[in-house]
This record gives sequence, structure tokens and C-alpha cells, in this order.
Amino acid sequence: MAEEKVAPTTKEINRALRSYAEANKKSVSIDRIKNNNHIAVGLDKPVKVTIERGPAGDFFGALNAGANIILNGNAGRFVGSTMSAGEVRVNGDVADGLGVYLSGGLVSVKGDCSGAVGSHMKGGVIIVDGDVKGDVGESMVGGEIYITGDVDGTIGTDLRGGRIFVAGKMPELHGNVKVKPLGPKDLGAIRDHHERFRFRKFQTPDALNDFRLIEKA
Amino acid sequence: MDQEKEELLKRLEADLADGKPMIRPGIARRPMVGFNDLVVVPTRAMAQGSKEIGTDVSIGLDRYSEHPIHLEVPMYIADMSYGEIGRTAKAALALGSALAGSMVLCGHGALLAEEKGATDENDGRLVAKWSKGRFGDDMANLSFSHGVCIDMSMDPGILIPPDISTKEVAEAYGIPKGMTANLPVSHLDLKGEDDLKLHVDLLREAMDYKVPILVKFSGGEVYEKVRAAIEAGVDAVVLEGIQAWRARTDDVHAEHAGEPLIGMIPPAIRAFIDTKAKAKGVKLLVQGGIKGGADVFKALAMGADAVGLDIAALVGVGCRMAGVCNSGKCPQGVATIDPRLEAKVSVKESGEHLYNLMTAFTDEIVHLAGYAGLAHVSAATAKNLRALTYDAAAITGVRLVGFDRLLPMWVH
Repeated sequence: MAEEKVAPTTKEINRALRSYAEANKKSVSIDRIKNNNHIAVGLDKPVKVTIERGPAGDFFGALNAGANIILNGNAGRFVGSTMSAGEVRVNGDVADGLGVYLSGGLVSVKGDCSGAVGSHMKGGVIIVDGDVKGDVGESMVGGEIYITGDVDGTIGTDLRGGRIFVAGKMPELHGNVKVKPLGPKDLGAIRDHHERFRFRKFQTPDALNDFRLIEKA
Repeated sequence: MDQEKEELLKRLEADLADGKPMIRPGIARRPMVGFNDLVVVPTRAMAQGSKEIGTDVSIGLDRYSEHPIHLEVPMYIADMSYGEIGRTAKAALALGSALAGSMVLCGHGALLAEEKGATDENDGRLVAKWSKGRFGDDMANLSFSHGVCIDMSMDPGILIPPDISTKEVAEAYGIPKGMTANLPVSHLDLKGEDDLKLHVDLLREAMDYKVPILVKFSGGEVYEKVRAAIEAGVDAVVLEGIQAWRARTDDVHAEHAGEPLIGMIPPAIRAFIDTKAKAKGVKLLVQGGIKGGADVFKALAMGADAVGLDIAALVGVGCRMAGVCNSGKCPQGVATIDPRLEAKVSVKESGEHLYNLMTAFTDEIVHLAGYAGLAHVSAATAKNLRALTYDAAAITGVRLVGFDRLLPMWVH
């Protein structure tokens, strides 16, 4: 009888990642995951985790506190939820709730998001190089959200702090937020992010000026 | 003018002055059905000498977590948040509970250095809150804790008003200084009942299966909620009754939103029975307005495994019920974040007082257990209780005194 190859469980994958991180290994990669929820959650060491093939399920990289986590593939809901430090990068589309409750670190998506991006975010940075088919920055109190594509939902409902940058089409704003002029520092930050992420939406550097800043009115 | 009229007038005058409901401390003032409507009775077994009676209970034992929480006494400190109470009071709660071999269910906001210190030095246990606002609930906070409690209870919307959002509070809550901490009505990453299991599993994975995961509910559809929580795999369910202490809330919440604790335990127990949860080691914790060892014993006899102290614990660390918790100017330095007032609470002395209070409560529980003829307080059952009123018997399924049987609606 041929030996059956059994896919590791989420618990086994996370335990392996944790043991690499605790042994102060610099980087570790996983061939593929198949819709597992909770992959690479709660890592608090600066280990680089690369997942070569997705898709990931819900809560990918949630509660990250220092790791640099990369997924080549799509992910489900709540990528980087309640993360406080480090980086989560998804090269693919994600579902609802990207970076909800983010308090620090950087979450980026090269692809589209379904909605609820950065709800109740307190700090850190979210970058979406794609469209958002729902709301952005609801009840946000701090941090920065950059969206290179269109927003097809509300922006900054009940926002009390933080800043949202949108380059594509966006809806009419609620009374509690308004568009403010970009400062030289903002443009510098946008250029830096472009330098790193090579925004797909921008063919010429001039296009970076398309970003509008939305802040509390 | 009698007290009732005086309070009504005070509330209406506050309403008419600025068009906003009066903010007040959150203990229900009107009488409600409670543990006083029950009495303890022995069964026919021989009474035990009180020295032999066990009082300990474990949360998460023989389940998924490597480090269950072992409580020496069937009591713990209910969740009260920084901002509602001060730094010194929180540290004293941690100290007193550690000395008693108990645990603190933490409130909103990151664990404070002082409470971590008191816990570490005295081998205490802190259970972090996984809150709907995720205030300070990052991995650094969770890593220190001995358990995590997913908060599914309903609280008034505004937790921290801007006027008390000082640098220290803002830091603990992870929000900018002077900003209101609003509590979302639900977890933004928990959309349906099925998602509760996702959160239980998320926290197990993030905590590497080391600590127990609890979930807390307030009133309403208790059977369904408890059943869902058990099926989601939690190690313990926490129920909070309407009589729970809050530093600031309004009249509708304090007097009208929620259920009395004794009415929440029976549907919870039904969910435990239907899912065989007790045999699987799931525990039931209850809290909200517990006043003494008798209340604790009666809750245990109704089926709880441990009982949380709120107002009684606050008295333990210095509260003298001035009734001004909402002002943030507690004269005893408990319900305040003003450093000059906080200084009135000596952590060591107040922690020891709380320890004394919990020791006295334990004695009371043991005395009742001995009277009821039990070898361990966990052996108490509804057979050790009688209801004094028809209503209490109908609510609790405890035998009515005199009738000495279950009311017909409880006979299946």
C-alpha cells in the first residue's frame, strides 16, 4: 500500500513556526496551505515566514507582534486582526476585515478587499494595492490606510482619528470626515510605500499625486 | 421625602437639565429576586467536620490547555476595568486574589505593570479580556495572562469618556489621549455564532494551547448562548447578572438591562446538561452583585463552579460605597484614576484586606457546606436549597419551602 501523505494541521504548522521563531531562525517557508484558518498567529519574534501557495482561511497573521509574514495567494477574513507589530503581506485578494483592530505594524494586500478595512484601527499602516468593495476606516482612531484603487463603500464612518489615503474613485463622504490637502510629508510617505511595494495601479510617478487625504472634519 | 421619591426627582432633574440621561454608578437600586430568596438545608447525609471540606476548583483541567487555572477557593475577582477603578485598586485586587489562591478576570485595557507585579510575586492568576474594543489586547498583553476571556456581554457604549482619557488611560487602551473609548456592540471580526469557535481556536493557536479560554455573557437567550459557547469548545462560561457593579452607566442599563443572576443559572445548567459539558470539564462561572459566602454557596448549589466578586471585592480594597463611582472622584481612591486619590489605596494593606475578606467568605461557604453535609463545596446541589417564595421556586427550579417539592413546571 502506498504511503498516504497527510497534510499538517494548523496546530502543527503554527507550532513549527513558533519553534523556528523561538530558536531565533531568520526565515522559514511553507510550501502550501489549503484554506487553514489562523495560520501564523501570535508570533512575537522577528522571523520571516513565507507561504508559497495559498489560499489562507480566516485570521491569517492575526495578533502578529513582530514577525514578517508573506502569503502568495488569497486569504479569507480578518487578515492581521489585532496585530501590534511586524508585517503581514498578502499577494492576492482578501475578504472582509483586513487589519481590524490594528494597533501597530504594517498590513499590505496586492489585490482587492471585500470590505471593513481597518475598522476600529488604533495605529499602524494598512496598504491596499487594489480596490475595496466595502467600507474603509470605520470607527478608526489612529494609524494610516492607503488604497491605490477604488472604494465602493463608506469611508471613515465614526472616524475619530487617523488618516485615510485613496487614489481611485471614492464615494461621497459623511459629514464627520473631509478631504484635506496632501502635505509634502504625505507625498514622501506615499513615494516610500510605492518604492517598496511597486503599486500596480501606477504607471508614472505623477499618478502618485492622485491620492487624496481623508481626515476627521 | 422618602428615598424613592428623592431618587426619582434627582433622575428627572438631571434629564431635564441637559437632555441627557443621568450617569450614575451601575448597581441596581430596586429590589430584585436574588440569592436572599433561597435558604440552605442539609440532606440526610451526616454533617462533615468543616476542616475536611474541600473548596478548590480547576478551569481547563484535562481539556486543551497545558496550564489549567487552579483556584484554591471557588471565588475570583470579576472583571473591572482600568478607568472605572484606579491603578492601586487594580494592583490590590491582583494581590488579594493571589494571596487567596484565586484569579482576577481582567477588565478592558492592557494589564498594568502594578497588577502584573503583584501577580508575579504572589503566584497569582490574571485572565485577560478579549474585548469588543480590543483595548490593549495585543500579544504582549495576552502572553502574560493565564487565560483569555472572550467578552460577549453587552455593556453600555461609552467606556471611557474623554475627560478621564488621560495619558495613562490612553496608553492602557491604545487610543490617543483625550479620545473617547467607544465599545462596539459586537466584535468586528465575529459576525455570527459560528464565528465564536473561530475566536476560541484563534486564541488557542495564538496562546499555543497553553491557557484556558473562557467566554462571558450577560442576560438574554442564556440557554442558546451557553450551548453555543460549549459547542465552540470553551473551557468555562462566565455569566454576569444585572446586579453587576459598573463605575458609570445610565438608569436604563443599571435598573432595566439584563437578568438577575439566579434567573440565568438554570438555563445555563440546562445547556450544560444537554451537552454533557460538566462531564467534559467545562466550568460555569457566575458574577454580579455577590455579597457574601452565603450567596457564593447558593450559586454553587445551583450549579456554578466558581463565583466572581465585584462590589464586595471593591470594599475589600477600600470602597465604602460613597455612591460617586461615576464622578471619578471616589473619596477612598478606588473608583478613580486621579493619582492623588489613587494614593489613598495602599496596595499591600488593601490586598491583605481583600485576602481577609475572601478568607472569611470561604469560611462561610465551608460552614454552609458542613451544615449541608458535604465533603467538598462542589458537591452542593439544588437539593441543598429551598426557595422562600413561589416566584423564586419558579425561577430557579429549587424546591419551595413548605411544599418541599419542585413546582409542577419543573417536573419533567
